[in-house]
Amino acid sequence: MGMKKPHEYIEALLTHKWEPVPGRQRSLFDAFVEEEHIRQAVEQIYHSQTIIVESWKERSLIDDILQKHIVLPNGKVNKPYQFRLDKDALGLQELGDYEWGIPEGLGIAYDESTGTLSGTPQVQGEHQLTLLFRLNMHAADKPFTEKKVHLVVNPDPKSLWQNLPSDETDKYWQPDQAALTLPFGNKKLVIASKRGRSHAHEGKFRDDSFGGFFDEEKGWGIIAVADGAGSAKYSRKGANIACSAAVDSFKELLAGEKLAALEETIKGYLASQDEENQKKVSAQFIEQLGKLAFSAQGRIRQEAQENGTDIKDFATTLIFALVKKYAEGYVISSFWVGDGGIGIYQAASGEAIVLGTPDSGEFAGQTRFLTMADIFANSAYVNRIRFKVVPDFTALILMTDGLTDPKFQTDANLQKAEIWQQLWNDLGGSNDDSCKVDFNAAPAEVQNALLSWLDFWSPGNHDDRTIAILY
Amino acid sequence: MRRLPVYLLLDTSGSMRGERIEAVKNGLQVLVSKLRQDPFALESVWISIITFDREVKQVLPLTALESLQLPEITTPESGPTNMGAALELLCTKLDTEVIKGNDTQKGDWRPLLFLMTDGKPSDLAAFREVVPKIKGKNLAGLIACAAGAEAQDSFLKELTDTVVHLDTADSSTLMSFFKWVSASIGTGNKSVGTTEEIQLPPPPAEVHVII
Repeated sequence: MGMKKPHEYIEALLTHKWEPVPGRQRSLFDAFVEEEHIRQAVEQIYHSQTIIVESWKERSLIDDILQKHIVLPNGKVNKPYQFRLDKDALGLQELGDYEWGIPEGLGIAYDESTGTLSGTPQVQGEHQLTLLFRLNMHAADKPFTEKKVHLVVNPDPKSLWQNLPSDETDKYWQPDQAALTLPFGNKKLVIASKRGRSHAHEGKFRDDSFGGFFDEEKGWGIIAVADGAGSAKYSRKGANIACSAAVDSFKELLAGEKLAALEETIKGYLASQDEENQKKVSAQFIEQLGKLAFSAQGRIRQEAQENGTDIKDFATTLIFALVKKYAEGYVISSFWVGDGGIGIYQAASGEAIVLGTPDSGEFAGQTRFLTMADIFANSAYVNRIRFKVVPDFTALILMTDGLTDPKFQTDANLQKAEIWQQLWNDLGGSNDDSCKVDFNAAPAEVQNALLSWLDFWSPGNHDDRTIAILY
Repeated sequence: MRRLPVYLLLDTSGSMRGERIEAVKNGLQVLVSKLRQDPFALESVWISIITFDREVKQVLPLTALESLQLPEITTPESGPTNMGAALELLCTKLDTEVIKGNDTQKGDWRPLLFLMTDGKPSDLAAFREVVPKIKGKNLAGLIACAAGAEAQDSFLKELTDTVVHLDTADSSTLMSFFKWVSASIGTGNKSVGTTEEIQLPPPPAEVHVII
């Protein structure tokens, strides 16, 4: 309408509101439209139309912005936050000047020069921010329109973990943390075990256990760690029995007649590492370690029967190693069922010898347990037993999955020497907390340092942690 | 970091329209806020929402709880309850979104599934065809909820042993169901054997377990 020339507009108006201008009055009409007060009236109409159109346009554009779903990415307490409104990406091309209204104390501010919301949120929860805006078409003195926008600030997970004590009156209670240090020939053994944050948060028990023993006279020692299944109600007892039964049976082995045969085949093998001697010594280790593991399963089954429950309720993993130093080097033989890990680490060469592979399923947390009936069926356990002779080593390390999960992540990494090297350096203090275990210190000090080291933070990894180090 | 995938399958058919769907939305809000107060969930839980009515839509792809923003949930005026098609879509999503472990990558925790309906599957043939597929997915938990008097437990029993029934599908009952769901998710973090199901916390009085 505004585009039409005045006389066209008036002619259309008359046609619409009265009747068309007759041809005989054409010149009369031409003079009429030139009259000053008519021209002014047309101007006024044009002006009023513009006001209506512009007002509607403004109303509609503001509404578009008010209805637009603006999503602020969620923030997190104590974690730097930054957000910049991308007008084009959000389809807010009509948005002109704007600023943000932010609740006091939230910890973030709006920086006009860069157009960013930034800072470090301090308060968790769902907050209401205000977008104060004008349209592009607005003059700079036009009052702002307000739009409410939600901002979710997640709590810092670290602040949410509770540390509730476990029930000491429970018949299978064990302390929330435990440690052990033991002279082990010319080496030393240290073991530290801590209840995971996920258990502490709910006041549940530590389900990991361990055991260690060294026979001064015979020169033989045993180290064991076990991880009770989180889903099994008495698994802490299962883990505990697994370790103590392995140690007890080991003592019986040392006291009994079978030891002589074992020693003989080892000596034969050390003297000449040929295929036949290797077969002999392997058979011995399979027999003796198999017995230890089998007796551990038996003791758990007995406990279950005495309690009238299923052995599944005691589900546990088990790793143990037998160690003795000979003139030719250290003989190390191990048994491993479940997850976690065991390896011999040599710092000078950066080498790591991993004594087997963990049992893992397609989903996290899936593994196999000592308590499963088929573990000893059809000699399936044979592959779980390894032996190795090494001249010397920096550390023989046994761990539950509370450590292998955060430190190795994957089964493939567990076989990589550089990850073992990282773990050793980590123990030596190269970590976020500069928490260091000084293995040259007195054993009691090493034990305490190792307990502190176990507190390391790893998102999503809050299982019980147990580590045994022969150094 | 290991994730705990949680799939929520929600009936959005015509009968859910009004108070019920509003209650579900409130329930989801509470579920998410409660989980955000759980340090394990905050670091591990990933949520996906699939709605089903005549249409089946994944309104929220599997998303970390930490960065999650609840989507708009709408219900049509009327129409069928295509639960079978929803479970079919779920199978596809389980295959593409859930990470299986192997030598070089850590697998997710076994996924959890919560399904809620106030009716029964309209696409019964499709439903019965997909049930064995779902059972083969090795989920850590499959909880089906029949909400309200018209909801039929018997079909859900074909899908899972864990069926709960809500006598009424009003706001407070649905709310207590969603609170129970959030408590159940907290138990996903367990080292379980390959076939064992998770143990659920005791349900509130309004939530009946169907045996």
